[in-house]
Amino acid sequence: MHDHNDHFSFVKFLLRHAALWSFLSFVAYWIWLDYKVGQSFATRQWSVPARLFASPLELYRGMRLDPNYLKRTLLQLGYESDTSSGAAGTFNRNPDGLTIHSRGHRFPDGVEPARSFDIRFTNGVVTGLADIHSDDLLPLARLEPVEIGSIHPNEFEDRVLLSLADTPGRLLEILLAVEDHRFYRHVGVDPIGIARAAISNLASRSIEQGASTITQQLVKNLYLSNRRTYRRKIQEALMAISLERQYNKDKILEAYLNEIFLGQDGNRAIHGFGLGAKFYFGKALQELSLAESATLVGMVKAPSAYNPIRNPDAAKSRRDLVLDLLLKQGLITVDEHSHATMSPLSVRNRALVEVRSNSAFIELVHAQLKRDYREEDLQQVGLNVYTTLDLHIQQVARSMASRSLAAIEIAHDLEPKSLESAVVVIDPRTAELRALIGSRDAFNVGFNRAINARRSIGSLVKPFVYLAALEQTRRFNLLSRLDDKPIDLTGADGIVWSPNNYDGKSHGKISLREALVRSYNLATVDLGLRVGVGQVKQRLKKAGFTRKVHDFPSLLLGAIELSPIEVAGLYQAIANDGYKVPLRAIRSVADAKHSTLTRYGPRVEKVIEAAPAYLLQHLLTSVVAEGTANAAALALPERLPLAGKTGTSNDGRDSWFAGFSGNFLSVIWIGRDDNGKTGLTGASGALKLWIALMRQIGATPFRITQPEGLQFNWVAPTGTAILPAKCRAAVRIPLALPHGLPIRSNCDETVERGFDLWRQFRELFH
Amino acid sequence: MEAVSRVISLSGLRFRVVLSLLLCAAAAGCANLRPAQIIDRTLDAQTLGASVNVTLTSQSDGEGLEMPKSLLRQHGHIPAEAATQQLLTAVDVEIGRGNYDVATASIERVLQINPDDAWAWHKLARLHFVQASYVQAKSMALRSNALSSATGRVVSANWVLIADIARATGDLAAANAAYAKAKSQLTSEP
Repeated sequence: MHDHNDHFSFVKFLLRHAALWSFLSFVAYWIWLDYKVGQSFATRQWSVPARLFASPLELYRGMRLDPNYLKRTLLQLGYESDTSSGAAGTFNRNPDGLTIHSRGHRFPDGVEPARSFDIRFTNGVVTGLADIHSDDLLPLARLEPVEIGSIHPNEFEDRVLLSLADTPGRLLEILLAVEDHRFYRHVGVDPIGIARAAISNLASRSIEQGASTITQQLVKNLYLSNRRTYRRKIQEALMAISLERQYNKDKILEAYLNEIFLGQDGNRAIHGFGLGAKFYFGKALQELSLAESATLVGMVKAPSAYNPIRNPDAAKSRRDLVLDLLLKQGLITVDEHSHATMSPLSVRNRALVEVRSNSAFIELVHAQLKRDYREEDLQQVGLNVYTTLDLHIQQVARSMASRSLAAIEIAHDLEPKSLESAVVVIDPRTAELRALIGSRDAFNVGFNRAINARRSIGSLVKPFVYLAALEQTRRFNLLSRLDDKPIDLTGADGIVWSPNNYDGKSHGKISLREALVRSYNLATVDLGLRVGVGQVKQRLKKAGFTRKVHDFPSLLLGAIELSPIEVAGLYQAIANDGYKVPLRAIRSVADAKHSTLTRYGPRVEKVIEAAPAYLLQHLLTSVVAEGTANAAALALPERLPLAGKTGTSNDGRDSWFAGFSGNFLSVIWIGRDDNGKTGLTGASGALKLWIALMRQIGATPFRITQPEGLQFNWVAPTGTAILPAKCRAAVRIPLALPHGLPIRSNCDETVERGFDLWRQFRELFH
Repeated sequence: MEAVSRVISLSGLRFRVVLSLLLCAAAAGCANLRPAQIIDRTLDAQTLGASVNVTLTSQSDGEGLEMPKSLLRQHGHIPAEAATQQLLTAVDVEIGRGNYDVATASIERVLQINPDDAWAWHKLARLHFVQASYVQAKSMALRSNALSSATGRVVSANWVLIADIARATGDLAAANAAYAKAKSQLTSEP
């Protein structure tokens, strides 16, 4: 008996203590969970990738603007057209323009307010810009910038951060009605809901129905796996209660609004209602209609099944179910209900979003950002990056590249799709990158030729040879005689280099001007050797060439390899009157609250003296007017003068054109990825694309400003003396000072010049 | 010919005015010229001169013909200038308050709209100056002067700034020379 008693008390003891220990472990576990939830919630940071914005569209009277481009920009910004609402983010078409209700934006230089304004066009020019409420003329209005991409890891969460205060009350009403109508009354779990779900689940012998409160859903999304087990359910409930104990309802709801998963877009997870509205409807959350809000809230239950893009029918019936519920709960009127159920899903036009097509540019921006920011900050802290990209020019460059390449392949009987291309467009005065195309198929995110393909630049180097000469103002002028004759040069390794002209001929004594305009190789080698290869190298360095380069005379004909963007950097100073400005793709970076962190303004450095810069510009306009790039003059007569230089490497492996108008400097490269022969010259390849591009993007004439230190004089045709103006042979040319030429008082000829102006003009060009 | 000699006998300033009118008329008349003929503004003037002999006979002294700024500006960016006027005025207020960041951002916006705006470059130069970034200030002032939109007043303002920079760096001789240039710009401007 004693034994039995002992045994019994031992079992009792065990039982009592087991219960106690279990209880104690449970409490400890809960305390630990409570602590963990509180900690991680407090330190939680929403991962928001850095967003990249294109240059915003500025509107003012007198500007050239294609109304269709304006409309496209508005649609890209998610504006809705032809609604009568007059709400921000809408526009209406009028007979002679548009009425725009802009959203406003916090730019780094200040707030652009939301406005309602009329914009009127006459023949592609903005002729009216006025506030519709006050009738005041607006000097300047700016649209929000279009987002062109973001910086993120391969798999990433994306969201547009929302505060509860920014969230429309209507959306909250719908959300709570559908997901958790007792949210403001329960303690994190809702026993009534659980009981209802449990009965239903027992009946079906599986866990089908959730009775998760918003707090539970949040806990699950933040901390737990997706497995549906009872153990996980209990964990979820405990954590929900802990969260509610430590944080108020509004904090929890706000977190929910930002965390909720609303679908997958490739490798990007759409989180939160802010991004949900933008991603599915192209709008700010505040702009959603009742039907659209109902669609979004309807998705919460099963984001994939009710995805309005992929499963519109399911999404629509789910939306209507939500609307029925709202009507039943008296949250909307019968009218609202019938109007909303009759409206289409109105998912935004996906074709308008071409983020990936800007990948070459985004890659460059990312590389520049990495110099100043840590990668994890770029990926997570929600930076706003304002770039220099002009979406219109980028779109034109993209379509022109693929169209021109196809045409060139047909014209030259080349294999279809065998050519590749890169395009760089900058504003030469501010050195802002306007467009960057790194491959023929801009949607193909791959090798970025604009930045990474270093190719032989051929004759593109010549302007620097001539510049090095023209800087020696006493030695060389535009008429200096050069020897265009065959030459054999023996390198240090004993190998003989025998350059040739493209036409295989030699042209004897010709002027410096003609040699560049016709891009003669032999005359250029003659000039380069007289100036000195080292001098030319120095000249390139001063213009911004940073790579190590050899000292061989082949440098004079472009035996160096550069990427298209490096070429643009070199030519920028030529197009900008000798003032170098480092290329920029970023204007400024602001934090998630729109405070500016870094501004990347222009820096200016004079690298070419005014007079030689003028002479070189003058020569390069002649290349277009009458030289190797004459096709541009014939194609774009109304935009002249334009300036530029063709470049061709051996056997047409690389076809280049670098040229500028008053407003753009564009560099084009065309070639094959395997560096194979194309048979193209700079003129028959790259120039064609350059012309098409410059025509479409509104290139303006390049007007040379005559600087100090330069004089026009009547000069002997050999460039060796200043002659009296009356001399028949005298040619009027600009001379950089000091010119060092002797001044003659007599002509060598017997006939006086008289009024034969046309001859003088002609002579200058032949 | 009588008209021609009368034009030639005009004083320098009036001559320029008449010349610009003639050039405008010629520009309108020669709008269909072949592209290759219009190379730069000097050649412009020569080509146009074919129909207005007087312009060339009067400057066969070897001096380059300077196309009047007024004519250049007709092709220029006046719409953009009007649009950005208000921004540039606001910039002055911000500079006065010492809000250099806001001022710089606004000027950079002006330059994004109109990179040829000589006043905007001048103001950016001045902002660099007040922040003791003298090398940039001088480069930008010179760049501003080299723009075709740089008229007498802005050129003069740039020389004053260059003089200020020279003085700030202790180069009094350069400062005086720059002040003299600033002054001469103002007196030569009508």
